[in-house]
Amino acid sequence: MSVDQELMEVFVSEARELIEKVVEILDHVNRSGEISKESVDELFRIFHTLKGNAAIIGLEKVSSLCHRLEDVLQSVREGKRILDRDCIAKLLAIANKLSDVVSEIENRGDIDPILKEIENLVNSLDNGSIREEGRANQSTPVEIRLSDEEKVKLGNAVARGLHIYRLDMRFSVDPALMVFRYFQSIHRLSEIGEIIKAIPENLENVKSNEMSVVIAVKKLEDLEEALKNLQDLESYSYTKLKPEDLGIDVEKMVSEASDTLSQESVISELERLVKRVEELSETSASTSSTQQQASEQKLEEIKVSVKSLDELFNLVGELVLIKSRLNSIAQQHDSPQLKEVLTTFSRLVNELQDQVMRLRLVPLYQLFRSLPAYVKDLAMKYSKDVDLYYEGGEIALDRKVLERIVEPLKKLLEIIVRDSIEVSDLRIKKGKPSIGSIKISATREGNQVIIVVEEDGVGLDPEEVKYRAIELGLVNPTVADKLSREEVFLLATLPGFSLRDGRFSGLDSVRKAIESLGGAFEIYSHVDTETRYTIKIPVSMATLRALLIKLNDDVYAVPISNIVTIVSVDSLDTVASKNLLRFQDKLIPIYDLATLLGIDSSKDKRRYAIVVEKRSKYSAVLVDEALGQEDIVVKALGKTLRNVKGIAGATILGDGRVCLILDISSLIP
Amino acid sequence: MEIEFLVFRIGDELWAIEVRRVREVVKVRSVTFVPNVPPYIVGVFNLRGQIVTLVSLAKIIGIDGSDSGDKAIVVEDSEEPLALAISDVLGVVRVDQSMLIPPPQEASELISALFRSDGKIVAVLDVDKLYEVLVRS
Repeated sequence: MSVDQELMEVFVSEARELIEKVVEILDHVNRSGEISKESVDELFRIFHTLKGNAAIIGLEKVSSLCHRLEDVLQSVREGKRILDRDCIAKLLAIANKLSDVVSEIENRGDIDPILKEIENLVNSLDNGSIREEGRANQSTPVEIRLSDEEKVKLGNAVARGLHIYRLDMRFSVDPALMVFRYFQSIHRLSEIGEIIKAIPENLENVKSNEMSVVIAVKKLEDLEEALKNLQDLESYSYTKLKPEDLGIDVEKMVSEASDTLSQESVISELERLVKRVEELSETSASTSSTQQQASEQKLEEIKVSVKSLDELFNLVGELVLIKSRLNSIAQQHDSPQLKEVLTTFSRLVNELQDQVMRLRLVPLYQLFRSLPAYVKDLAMKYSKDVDLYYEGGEIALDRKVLERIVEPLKKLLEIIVRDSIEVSDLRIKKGKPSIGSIKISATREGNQVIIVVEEDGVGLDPEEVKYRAIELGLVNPTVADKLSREEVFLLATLPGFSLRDGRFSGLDSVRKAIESLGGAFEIYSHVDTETRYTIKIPVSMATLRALLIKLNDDVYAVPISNIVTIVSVDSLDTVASKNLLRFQDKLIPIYDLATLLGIDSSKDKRRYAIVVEKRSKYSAVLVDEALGQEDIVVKALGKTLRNVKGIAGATILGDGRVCLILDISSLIP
Repeated sequence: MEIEFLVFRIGDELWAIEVRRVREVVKVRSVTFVPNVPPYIVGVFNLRGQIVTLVSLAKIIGIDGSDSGDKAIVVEDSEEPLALAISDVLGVVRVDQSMLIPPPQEASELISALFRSDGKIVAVLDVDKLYEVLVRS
C-alpha cells in the first residue's frame, strides 16, 4: 500500500469519527435547545482538525470549507454571532454532506458535486452580520488592557529607565505555523527587552497571523535589530507608549513593587511557553484547542492502524527470535559481560513483547455479539428452536486469536444445533423447555481465556462414544478401557469420528483449529442434562510472517524478513567445484538446504532457491517447493532443543503437525 | 511405604517410572524430524497445542532393538514435558520401598534403583537425571 493510500485510509476513518461527533453534538443541541460553550469549542476544534487533516492529503477544497466553518464558529465563540436553529440545521446538513464526501473519497468517487452543495450551505451561513464585523476586525488594532501585575511590571521597567513600545506584527505564514512564529517572536524579543504583555496572551489562542506586544527596551535600535531576524515577518508597526496613556502612575507603582518580581515572572512564563511548545509539537494535533485539558486528554489516546500494529507485532516476533539466537551464541562464549547484557536484553525484549501484545487485545464481545443471530439462522436451517446467551464479552483477547477462534466456535455451534439440541416436540416429551438453550461464557485464568459452551440437548454418552470409537478402529479396546471419563469424550474429537446415526461428526476440526492456536478443547457431557464444551486459548501469541517451504517431505517455515527473494532455478554455474547461482548479474554461492541441515541430500534437483543476505553478501539455498506465506504462531522448543543450529523455534500448522522455523543465515557457512 | 510405578517395556528390557512423574501415556502420530540433533532425539510433536520433544530411551540407554512403537510416556519436570518413546506399557505396580535394590556401580546413571516384579528385574528410571543428561548434551 502506498503512503498516500495509507494516509487516505487514516483520513477517512478519522474524518468519519469527527463528523459523527459533530452530528452528535448538533443533535444534542437541537433536542435540548441549549448550546453550551463547550459544544461550540468542541465543534470549532473538530473543524479545525478536519481542516488540517484534509490539507495533509491534498483535499484543498475540503480544507478551505472547514476553515470557513471554523471562522463561523470562532465568531460564535467571540460572541459576534448566535447559533440559531437555522444555523444548526445548516451545520447539520453540512455535516451529513461531509460524511457523503468521506464515503465518496473512500470509493474514489467524484466529490466535487457534493462540495459544491456544501459550499452553497456555507455561503448561506456566512451571509449576515459576521461578514462585515468579522473581517473588518482584523485590521483595527486591538485594544490593550493591562492587568495589575502587568502594570507593576511596566512601572518597574519605566523606573529602570526603559522605553515602552507597542509593537504590532503580521506574519506571512499559514495560521497553523503561527504558533511557532509567535513563540519565536516572544523568545527573540525577550532577549532584548522585557515583554509586559503579548496578544494573544498564550500559544493556545494564536489564531490569526497577527500579534501585538507591549515591550520595554533600552533603545529602539535593539527592537528593530530583533525584528530583522524574525522569520516570515510581513509587516510591523510600533508606537511609543507613555505610562500615563495606559493609566499608570509610575511613581506609585515603583514604590509598591519589588524589583525582582518582573524578572521572575518572565522566566516562569517562558518556561511555561517552552513546555507548551514541546507539548504541542509532540501532538501536532489540535494546536488551537482552547482548553488545555482537552488537548491533554487527547494525548492519552492515539489512533493506530491495525496494519501498523501488526507490523510492530511482527517486528517484535523477529526480535524474540534474534534474542534466542543471541542466547545460543552466548552459550558458546564464556563471557560474563555478554551474559549480563543478554539478561537485560532478554528482559527488555520480553517486556516489549508483553506491551505490544497488550496493544492488540480486543474484547470477545466483538465476536459474541454476532452469535445469537448466527444461531437463529442455524436453528432455522435444522428446524430447531434455540436461544443463545453469552456472558464475559468484556474479556479481551489478541485480535489474531479472536479472528481464528471464530471458525471453530461457529463450527461447534453448528454441531450443537444440528446434533445435540432436539426438536421442540421431543424436548417437551422429555420434560425440557421447548426452546433449547446454548450458553457461552468467557473467563480469564492467568494467561488463558476459557470459553465454556453449555447446552441442554442430548449430548454425548461416554459408553456410546467409547464403543463407537473402538468400532471405527480409532482406539484399541484395551487402551479405551483405561481411559478416564474426560479422556473418553476426547475420542469423539478424533478424525473420522461420528456416532452410529452420523451425529457429532466434525468435532475433530474444532479441536484441530483450537490446538493450532496453542489452545485445548475438552468435552464433558451428562446425557440429556447438560453438555459442556470447554475451549482454552492463550490470550495472545507471538506471530511471524513466514514462507512455508518444502524440503524432501518436510515442511519448514522461513521468516519473511530473512528472505531477499525466491527464484526458480534452471541451471547452476560451477566454479572450482562450487555451485553458483546467477542473481542480479552476479554469481552467488548456493547450497542445498538439506546438506546444511545435515539430512538426506540425495535429491539432485531442487527447483527453487531462497536468496538470503548474510553480512551484506547474498547466498542462496535450494528447496523443493515454496508453499506460500502464512502468519505463524511462534512457539519455543523445549530446553532439550534450545540450541539446535539453524532452528529458531517451531509452530503448529493447520493440520496439527509441528513445523520448524529455520534461521537460514546461521546455517550458511 | 509403597511407591507406585508405571512399568513399561523397551525392546526386551523392563523399566519403570514413578507414577507421580508420569503425566500421561500417548499415541504419537506425526513426529516432525529435527535436523542437527543427537540421534536419540526422535523429533517433536504436537501434544494438544504444546510442542513436546520425543526421545528414544533405547538409544539413550543403549538397548538393542527398537522402541519403534508409536507409544510414548510423557513425563514432566517443573518446566516442560518430555515424551519417551517406548515399546509397550505393561501396567502399574506397587512396590514397598524396602524392596528397592540400589543399582550396581557399572549400571547406567539413569537407573536410580531396581526391583523384582513377577520374577523379572525392573530398572527404575531417574527422570531428573534424564533431563540433566539431555540438557547437558
